[in-house]
Amino acid sequence: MRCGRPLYFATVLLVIGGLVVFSVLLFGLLLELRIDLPPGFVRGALVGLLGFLFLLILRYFCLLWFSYLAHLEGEAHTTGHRPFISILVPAYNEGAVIQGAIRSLFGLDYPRFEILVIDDGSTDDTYARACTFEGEHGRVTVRVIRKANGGKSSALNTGIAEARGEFVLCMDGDPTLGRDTLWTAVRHFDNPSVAAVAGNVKVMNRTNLLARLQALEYVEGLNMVRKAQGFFRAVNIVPGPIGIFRKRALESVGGYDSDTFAEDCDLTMKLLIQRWQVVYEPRAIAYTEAPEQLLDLLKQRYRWTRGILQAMRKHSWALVDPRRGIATMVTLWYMIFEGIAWPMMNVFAHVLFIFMAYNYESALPLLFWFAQLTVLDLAAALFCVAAEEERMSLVPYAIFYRLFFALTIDVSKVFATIEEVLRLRMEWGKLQRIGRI
Amino acid sequence: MDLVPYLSTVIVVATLATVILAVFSYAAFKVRDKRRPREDSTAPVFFRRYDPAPSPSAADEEGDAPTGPHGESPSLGT
Repeated sequence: MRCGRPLYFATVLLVIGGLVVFSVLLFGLLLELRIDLPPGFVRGALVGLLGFLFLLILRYFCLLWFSYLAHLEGEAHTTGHRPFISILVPAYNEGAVIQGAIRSLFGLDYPRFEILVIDDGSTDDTYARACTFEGEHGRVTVRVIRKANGGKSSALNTGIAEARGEFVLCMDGDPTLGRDTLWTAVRHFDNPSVAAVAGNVKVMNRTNLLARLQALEYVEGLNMVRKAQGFFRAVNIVPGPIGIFRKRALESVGGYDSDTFAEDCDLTMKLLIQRWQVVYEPRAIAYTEAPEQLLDLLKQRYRWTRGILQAMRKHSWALVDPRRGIATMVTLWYMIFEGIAWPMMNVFAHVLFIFMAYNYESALPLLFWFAQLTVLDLAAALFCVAAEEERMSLVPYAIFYRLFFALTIDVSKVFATIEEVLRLRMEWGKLQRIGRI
Repeated sequence: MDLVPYLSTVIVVATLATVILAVFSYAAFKVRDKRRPREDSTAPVFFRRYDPAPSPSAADEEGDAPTGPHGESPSLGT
């Protein structure tokens, strides 16, 4: 959907407009529904859910609109400034994928950079495999550092301290970066207030239904939000697989902390609170390996949920401190909406609707809820797929996404939230890489 | 033919199945996570490693009491 394809762009926008109008009509029909309910909890809950559904519709409209605006200004010119960049690759037992990851970095289209592999006390052959690349490779230098195991935050902090570049790219041990990643990201740093550029994470292993649903989720659920937030230069999470940072900004906030399980979210919040700007660059791409099994996916989301909640609790004081900037405040409140309110309400709504279907023989509210959100998901998926030049075949998955995937993930988020509130013990639980990349 | 009742039934059944599956999957994830081998469990669980004590003369020469990898005195497993 770049400038060269205006007709395609116009068609997609037309279809999205139709879906948006349809969703408004659906909401109108829902308001007209007459269900014979006794006054009391069920009726009150239904009215509350209607109000929440209205908020969700508003959320989709806002995200679509601001993503569109961000897309329009995404073709900004570049100054041609090419500063030296250090790419940090923290690795803990990434033996299966580390060589592929380093090899893929050699193909980056950028004149001057170094690759710094930080082996975080791996017990497999990660260090040995990484060392085979150590040295000069034309315009690229590879250095490998070994340290005692201390977690990803500690590895990245070591890398930041050792980095020779003015800017650092932090990534996981497994992703493969897109060829244009560095030069598309670095142009944002012409603005001295920009501390970080959040990259675009895409799922590489689209081998089964679960992985394809995650591919859609990354494009629609995560990147659309980042794109809209990027319009205000207040992206709330610079993703672990790809984030480019101004080294001075990282030093000003003390680098990564290890007191939460979502160090990327925590760091981004620290930057925003210090009034740095955080932007999104859709062409700075990292391909990552998504979990292919349901239990592995739940493990990943469990850590994400609890980690984000920990970071939110840590910085909760900033929610009511307007001196941190209105955009930052809105972003932090949005995280509460997205991280706590929506999963809770979604699960509650489904349980209530099933109860109503059983007791009052009316499944219409559930049908409307599903139809409403699916139509909005389809509109969002269509926009994001077109904007990111993804495959159109991903769009129909929005139906399965809403029907099965989102609800399953929301149920696990609710449990994880309860565990976090109760402060139950948790561990990192590293995902096993299959090594498809 | 009115599609709405059929669609409603499909959605209710799918939703119910998803909720049940989600709850059981979460329980399965927690059980699996609890049974996962821990990082510090590389040492033998039931038997202590047998490290033969050095000969008295060697110990005298070194002037130190013999210790295992974690600083403990080696002993026969019991």
